[in-house]
Amino acid sequence: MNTFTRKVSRPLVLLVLLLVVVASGCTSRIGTSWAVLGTVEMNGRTQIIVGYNTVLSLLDPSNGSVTQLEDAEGRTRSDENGNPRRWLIDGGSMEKAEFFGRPVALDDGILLFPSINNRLLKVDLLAARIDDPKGIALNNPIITDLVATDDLIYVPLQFGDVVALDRDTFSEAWRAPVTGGVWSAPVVQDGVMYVAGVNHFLYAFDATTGQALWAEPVDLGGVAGASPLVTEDAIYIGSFAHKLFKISKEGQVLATFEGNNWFWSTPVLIDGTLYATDLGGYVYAVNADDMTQVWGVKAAGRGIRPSPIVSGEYVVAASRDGKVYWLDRATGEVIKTREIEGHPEILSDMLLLEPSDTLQISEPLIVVGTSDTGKLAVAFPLNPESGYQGWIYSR
Amino acid sequence: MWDLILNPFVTLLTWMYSIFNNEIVIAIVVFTILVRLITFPLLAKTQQSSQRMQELQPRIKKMQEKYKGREKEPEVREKMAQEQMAIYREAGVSPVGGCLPSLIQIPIMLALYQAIYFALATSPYQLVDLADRLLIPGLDQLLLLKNVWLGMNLTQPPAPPLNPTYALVLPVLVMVTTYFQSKLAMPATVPSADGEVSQTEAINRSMTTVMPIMLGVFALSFSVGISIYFITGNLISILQYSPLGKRMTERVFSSGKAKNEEDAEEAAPLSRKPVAVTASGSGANSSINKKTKKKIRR
Repeated sequence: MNTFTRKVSRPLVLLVLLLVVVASGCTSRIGTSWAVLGTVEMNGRTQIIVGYNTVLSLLDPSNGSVTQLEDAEGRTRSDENGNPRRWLIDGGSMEKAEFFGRPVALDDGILLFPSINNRLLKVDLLAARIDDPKGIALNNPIITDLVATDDLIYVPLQFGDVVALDRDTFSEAWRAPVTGGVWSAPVVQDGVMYVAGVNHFLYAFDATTGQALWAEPVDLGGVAGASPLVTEDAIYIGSFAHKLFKISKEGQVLATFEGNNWFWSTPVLIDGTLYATDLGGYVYAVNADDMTQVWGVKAAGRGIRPSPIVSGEYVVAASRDGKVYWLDRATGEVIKTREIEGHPEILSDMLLLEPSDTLQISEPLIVVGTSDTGKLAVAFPLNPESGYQGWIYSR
Repeated sequence: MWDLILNPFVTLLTWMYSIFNNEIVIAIVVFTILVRLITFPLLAKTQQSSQRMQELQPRIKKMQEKYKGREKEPEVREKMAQEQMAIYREAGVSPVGGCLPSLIQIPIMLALYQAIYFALATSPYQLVDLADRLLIPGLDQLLLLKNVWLGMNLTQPPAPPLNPTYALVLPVLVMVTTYFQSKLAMPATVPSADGEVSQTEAINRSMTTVMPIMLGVFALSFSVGISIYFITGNLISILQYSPLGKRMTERVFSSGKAKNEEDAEEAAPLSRKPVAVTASGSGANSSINKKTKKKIRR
């Protein structure tokens, strides 16, 4: 090694390392999206599916453990070392697949998962396997849920448009133009597909042909990050303009409600009252008829991204401050707060699991998803006074 | 703490986007120029300090040669360090004086980079963060910022399929402008007696090669918007380090320097003499010293 190389190599390596650390810190501090939680039926039982970054996992709702694979006779399948095989899929080695949206179940035990690597991937539910890592190629990442009808699968694309694929052949049936991007799942009801774009507009398309149904899309004044709530009479949707809109099925704004910050969740409608959350940490109850406030409470110290869960006498909201809040449904008073250790951000939409024939749990559970892989999914009893402690899924 | 720097930057960039008719590229360029103008005095200080350190190299080299072969003896090492400090002291140069302005610039540049990264918000995670970062009410209604420019998606890396092939010209421009910027920023070298390359000089030389390649590779994986920031920043640095830019720096700082030297002269009249001798090697600095002397005489 000559003098020049000797003198230069050490400081140079250190400098390059420093720059790499700084640069990687700049990009990796923020990921793409948050964990997605959903339910699927397997072997007659309801399981929780969790998707986050490259990994998909299936959880037993009774204790949060990863589901063990079973053969046709219901016996636990084992690997070559005799250990039970668990339902886990790592898409990292499969063309860099990452999962931030809920799948649709196809007819033959196959789940079709949207992935950020511009593909839809078929997951064999019983075998926990992706046979074709190339999947169905699209020209755009997908970061939200897929929606399916008997004939079509609706795919919202991150940088624009909704593509309708034939459910059998996966060929493109039509493409609905939505500029900017679609970050929330479309809603299909009564032959109409309603979809909100990050371009501030709400659209209605014929769900069979893809033809636009409104002369002009509805201007929401800001980004619409969540799906609309579509009822018999009206459409309700929030936007970053700090507003909740009530829109007629013909695309006319009927009334609005003004909140304190961005609305980034789908409101919940029960008994004529809309329950909504905003990124200012507020929870609201709004009269769905005239959009006047019934009550509004600043419940959390940080923003509330997920939709609330409304059940019985409770409205449950989960915040970026790592806490879950139980509010009195009649008054909005905060009755109980539970915090997750380390206060990881809660951004995913929550799940409400009720005991049933396919769900062997002793009482209703709320499952929240966090951004901490050590506490990726956390379950609490719906009744805050219950003695049950819930569970934590750590990946 | 970091948010105290970052949030105003994100807000300012978004505000500029609104005043430049929703043209994010113009906003990025103007924003980068503005931040560089604000940090210009820091850069100029680093430039001056580095030049003066370079001019002291022959004296340090001479001192090192005096102890050649005995550098590993603890007493000799201590003596060498003391003499080196004495040289710096005599010349009125602080060895860390050039580092400090550079260090202050690092968080500013990092915040500038992150402001572009956050404001362009390519994903839900970045966007949810913006809810807390925009300090002026109403700016959030501009989101998402229009991110297509000349057919390129500014939030995506330049390589196909997410951007057209011609977007690859940006990493090339990043490399080329970084090369010229590094070349111009390199202080003028002072030849040593034995012709051996000093460590600082060697690092400077290798950085001229390594930095453009490294930033070019980064630009391939970062978004197009960040490449525009790199290119703008480099072009500004090229202007600042160009002879015209250097003359402007001298003009801006010569009066302040003259005053400092006058003060120093009053405090220790003999201590300035070695500077006048060693400074004669460099054209740029000798002109500073001539002007300074003139002012002192006046």
